[in-house]
Amino acid sequence: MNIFLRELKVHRKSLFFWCLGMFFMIWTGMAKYTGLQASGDAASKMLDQFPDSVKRIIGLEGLDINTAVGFYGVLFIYLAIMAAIHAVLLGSSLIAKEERDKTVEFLLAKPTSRTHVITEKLLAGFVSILLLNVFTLVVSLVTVTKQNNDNPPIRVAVMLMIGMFIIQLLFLALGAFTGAVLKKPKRAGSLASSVMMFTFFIYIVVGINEKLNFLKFFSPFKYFEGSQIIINGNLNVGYVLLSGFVIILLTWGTFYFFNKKDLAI
Amino acid sequence: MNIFWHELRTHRESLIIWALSLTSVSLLFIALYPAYTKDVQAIQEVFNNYPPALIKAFSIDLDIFFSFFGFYSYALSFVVMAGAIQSLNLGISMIAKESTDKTVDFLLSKPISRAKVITQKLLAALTVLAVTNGIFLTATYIAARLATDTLNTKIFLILSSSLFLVQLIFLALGMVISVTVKKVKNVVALSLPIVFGFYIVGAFESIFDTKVLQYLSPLKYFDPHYEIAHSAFELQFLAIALGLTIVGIIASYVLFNKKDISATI
Repeated sequence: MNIFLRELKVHRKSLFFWCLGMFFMIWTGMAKYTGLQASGDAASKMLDQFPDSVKRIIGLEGLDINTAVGFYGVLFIYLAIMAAIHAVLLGSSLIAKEERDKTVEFLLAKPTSRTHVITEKLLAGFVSILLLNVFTLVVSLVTVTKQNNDNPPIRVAVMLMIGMFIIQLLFLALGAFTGAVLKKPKRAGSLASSVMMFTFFIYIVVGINEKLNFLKFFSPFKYFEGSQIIINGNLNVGYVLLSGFVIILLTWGTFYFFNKKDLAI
Repeated sequence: MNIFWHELRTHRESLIIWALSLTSVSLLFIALYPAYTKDVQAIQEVFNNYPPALIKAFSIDLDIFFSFFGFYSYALSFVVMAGAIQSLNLGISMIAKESTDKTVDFLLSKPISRAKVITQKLLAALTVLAVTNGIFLTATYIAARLATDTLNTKIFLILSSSLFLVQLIFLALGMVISVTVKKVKNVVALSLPIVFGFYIVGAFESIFDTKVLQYLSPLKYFDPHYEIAHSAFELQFLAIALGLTIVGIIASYVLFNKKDISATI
C-alpha cells in the first residue's frame, strides 16, 4: 500500500489547490446569479428569445437561468473542464513520472510486479478525482441550496456529479494510457491534454451546428451535458455504458502496454 | 547564433503541429459560418420589434453580434486560448528545459553571457510565434474572403493580431515563471490550468458583463466588440499588454542573471 499512500501524499498540495479553484468557480458563479436575480427578468427574457445556435454559443440552451439549478447548469461545463484537466494531467503524470524523474529503475527493482505498481497508482488517482468530485458536490449543493429557497436539489446535483465523475474517469484512464504507451513519456501529458482539448472543441462545434450531431460520440462533455441532465433528470444509459467500455479498455491498455514496455531508465 | 538555430530546430515539429492546429480551428469555424447566418435572420426579425432602450440595456451590439466578425471573434477566442498555451509552453520551457534536461551547466560554462543566452532563446521563441501567426493569418484571410462578400481588411487584421499580442504576454509570463520557479517537472501541468483559468475568468466576464474582470484575463484584453465598432485597439489594453510583455521580459533577464542555478536539481 505504500505506493498508493505515497502518491496520495505527493498530490495533496495540488489537489488542495484544485479544490480551491473549484470553490472559487462555484462561489463566484452563483454570486453572479444573485446579481442576475437583482437586475430583474428583463435580461433573461431577452436571452430566452435568442435562436438555439446563439444560445448554445453562450451555453444557455434548454436551461432556465432564472432558476438557481438552471443557472448552475451553465456553470457545469466549466467545472467539468476543470475536473477533466485535473484528471488527464493526474493520469498521465502518475504513469509517466517514473520515467521522467528517472526513478523507474529503483521502483521496478523492488520485489513488486509492474501490475501491482500500476494498480496502486491508478487507485491513488481514483481516490484523488473522487475527492475532487465529492468536494465539488458539497460546495455546489450548499451554494445552490442557499439560492434555491433552501430546497436542496440533491438528485440533480448527484446526477450531474456522477456525470462529471465518469468524465474524470475517462480522462484519468486516457492520461494513464498515453503515459504507458508512449516511448517518450514526457510527451504523455501534452498528448493526452490535446485529446481532451479536442473533445472540448467538438463539444463547442456540435453546439453551433446541429448537423454535426453525429460528432457527439467523440466528446465526453456531450455525453453528460449539464442542460440534458437537468432537463431529463437522468443520465443517458447508453453513454454511461459507452464510457464504461472505453474506461475499461483504456485501463486494460495501460496495464498491458506498461508491462510490455521497454522502460527508459 | 547557434543557440538560436538549435532552439528553432528543437521546436520545429511543435511549431508545425501548433500552426496547423490553430489554422484548422479557425477554418473549421469559418466553414460553419453559412449555417450560422441562416439562424440569424430569424432572430433579427424578433429584435426589430423591441424598443431600442431595452436592446441598449443588454449592451450587446446586435449588428456586430450577428455579423461575420461577431462569429469570427467567437472562433478567435478559442484560437487565442490555444495560442496562449503554445506561447506559455514556449516561455516556461525556455529556461526550465535546460534544468530538466540537465544541460544547464554545459550551457552556462560556455563563454557566453546569460543575457546573450536569453536573447537568442527569446528571438527563437518570437520567430516561432511569428511563423505560427503568419501561417494562421494567411490561411484565415483567404478563407474569410471566400466566406463573406465584403471583408473589412483593417478590422480583420486588428482582430487577428490579438493572437500575436496575447501570445507575447504569455511568452513573457512563461519566461518569468521559468526563471523564478525552482523545478518545473511538467510544463503542461502548469500551462493548461493557468490558461484555462484565465479563459474561465474571461468567459464569466462575457456572460455577466463585469468590466473589472476584463483586466484580470489577458485573453480578454482585445475585446472584439470594441475593435469592430471603433476599427481600432482599445488603447489602454494595448498599452497594458505591451507593458506587461516588456516588464516581463526585462524581469526575466534580471532574474536569470541573479539566479542560483544548480547543476543537479
